[in-house]
Amino acid sequence: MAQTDTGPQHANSAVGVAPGEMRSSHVFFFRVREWSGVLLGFAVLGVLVTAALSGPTPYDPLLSDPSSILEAPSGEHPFGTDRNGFDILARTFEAAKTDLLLAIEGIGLALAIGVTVGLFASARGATGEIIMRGLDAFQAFPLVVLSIAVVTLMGNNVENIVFAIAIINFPRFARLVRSQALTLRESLFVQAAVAFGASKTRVLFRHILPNTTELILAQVSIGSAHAIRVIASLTFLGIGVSPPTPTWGAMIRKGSRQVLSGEWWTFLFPGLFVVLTVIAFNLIADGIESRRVQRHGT
Amino acid sequence: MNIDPVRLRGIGKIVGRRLAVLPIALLAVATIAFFLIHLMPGDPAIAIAGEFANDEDIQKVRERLNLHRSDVDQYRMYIAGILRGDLGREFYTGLSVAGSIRRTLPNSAELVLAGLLIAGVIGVSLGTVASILRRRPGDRVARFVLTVTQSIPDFLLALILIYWLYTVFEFAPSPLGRIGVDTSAIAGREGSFLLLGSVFRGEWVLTRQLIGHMFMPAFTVGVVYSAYLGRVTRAALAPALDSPHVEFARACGLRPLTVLRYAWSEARTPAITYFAILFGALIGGVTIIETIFAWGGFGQWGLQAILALDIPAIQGFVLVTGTITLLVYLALDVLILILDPRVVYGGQGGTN
Repeated sequence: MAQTDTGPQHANSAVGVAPGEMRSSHVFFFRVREWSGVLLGFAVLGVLVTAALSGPTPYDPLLSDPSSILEAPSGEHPFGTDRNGFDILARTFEAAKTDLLLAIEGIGLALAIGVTVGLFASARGATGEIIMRGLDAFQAFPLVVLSIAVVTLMGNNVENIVFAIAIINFPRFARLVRSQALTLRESLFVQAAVAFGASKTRVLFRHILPNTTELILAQVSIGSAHAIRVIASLTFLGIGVSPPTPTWGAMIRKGSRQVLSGEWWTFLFPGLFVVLTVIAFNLIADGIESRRVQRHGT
Repeated sequence: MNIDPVRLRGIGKIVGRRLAVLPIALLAVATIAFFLIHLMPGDPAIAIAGEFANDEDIQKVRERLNLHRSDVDQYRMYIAGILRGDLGREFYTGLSVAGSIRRTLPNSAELVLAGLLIAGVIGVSLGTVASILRRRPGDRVARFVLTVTQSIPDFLLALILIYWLYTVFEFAPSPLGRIGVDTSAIAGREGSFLLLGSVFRGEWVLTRQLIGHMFMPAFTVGVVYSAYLGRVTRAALAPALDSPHVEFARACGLRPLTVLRYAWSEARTPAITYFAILFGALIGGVTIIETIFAWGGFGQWGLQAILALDIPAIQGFVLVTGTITLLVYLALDVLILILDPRVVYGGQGGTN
């Protein structure tokens, strides 16, 4: 930080000065403000994961207590109990494990398939064209419908939702990577790599792929937000539900029977956790994206 | 709005060309609808017959669905049926698939249209506010509101609305279909555009009832999808307000509202595009809301078909959603050609 100590008049005029020239405390607050959304998103997810793994309630999420059925929220059961006498707080955290894991696995699979397909689709000539027309045809019909059909046909198992998430999301990764790769292909460093005799695969994976990281990270976050909602929707419809393990969607489905009799806590609390998680992922995506726009202008 | 006659002829040519390709695209959709079912992992006959079925039962299911024939024969029979306007019969109920589509589609169309109008009002006004207040705190607030509405799952919002408006305050009518439990007022009119029909016939009592029952599901659709329209409005309108020609309009001393109108005419193309894409996607896609409100809609019917692995019904569902999407996109392209003089499709020069 040698250049920040050039003089007091310099250090105090932070406005209009590039961050590199600011005093370190200014740099810190500048960074925090710039990343506030991302930090908030990660904080929410961090608390959620910690709570899900440690299990802060004295109640077993898989063990019901028939003597306390449909109890309103109280000091003993902060989120109340459902119609089987399960503690809703305990089950909400237990469900977080399943929902988050499914989303991460699904998006991970979509990322792996999508990035590979997208990179190869950016190749000149017939290969790229064929892959893109294939993607068009694939996306032309309702993917959510297809994913429901896949889960139903593969056996009604929560794990199969991973494939549904991957099917819905991989075309977006593929298109994103391809469009970015097409731009990068024309840049000087890629031409230089080609001139040095690097193979096609090496150029794609070692030179183009690293430069799409920010875009991909933003899409991972958007995709995860979307995946959490899709998982909740599918399990709400009863797809992939296996009774003892809770998911947020299945809990809301169960609680929706109480909507007309007025036990609101049965569906509201798991629902709020879906909203909170989706907002957290969206904040992270917004933060990465707006930073990328600031730096590259597009 | 006056359109240059040369351009109008060009538009006519483009529409003609797109209409000529339409049958081929429809055949492609029908083919996808067919192979979607037939190339999926697992044997549908076993899934339909159930876990405890013996070989004879499974064979019976195969014969009823023609699954014992070769794929090529099945495909030929299926396409021939479509050309006759025959989409087959539902496996479990024996009803004609085409009849079920005709019965459910108008319900969905009215719900989606009402919902998207609400989404347009909420989204476009939030997006406009965010654009006017760009780079100020109000912008962040408006965008955060949009992020939140985008994050609420539709079924949760529907349940909260039912709980507050029906269970607690008894303000809204029962969330049971288009007109509640007593359906005598609409007897014999299933499968028509109930709301539009009642307005045209001047049956105001019925119109009020229908709107009352439509309020909660349409509002749910409206809030959930307002985020898409709001974001796209913000993304297009904010740069438009900073553009040189809007700056010039402002420098001329035009009233702020007039300036906003000029900027908006530049930003409306992406907003209209999103509106149309959402309409195409939601016609068979408001499944969950239709299920919760027992709406009797097309998406609800399609979902039941998929869960029951009712092959003729699933094929009909995919065929119709694909066809509607194609037609909506065609209408969208024509509309944008008329509205936006910068757009040139295909032809010489210009980008598409």
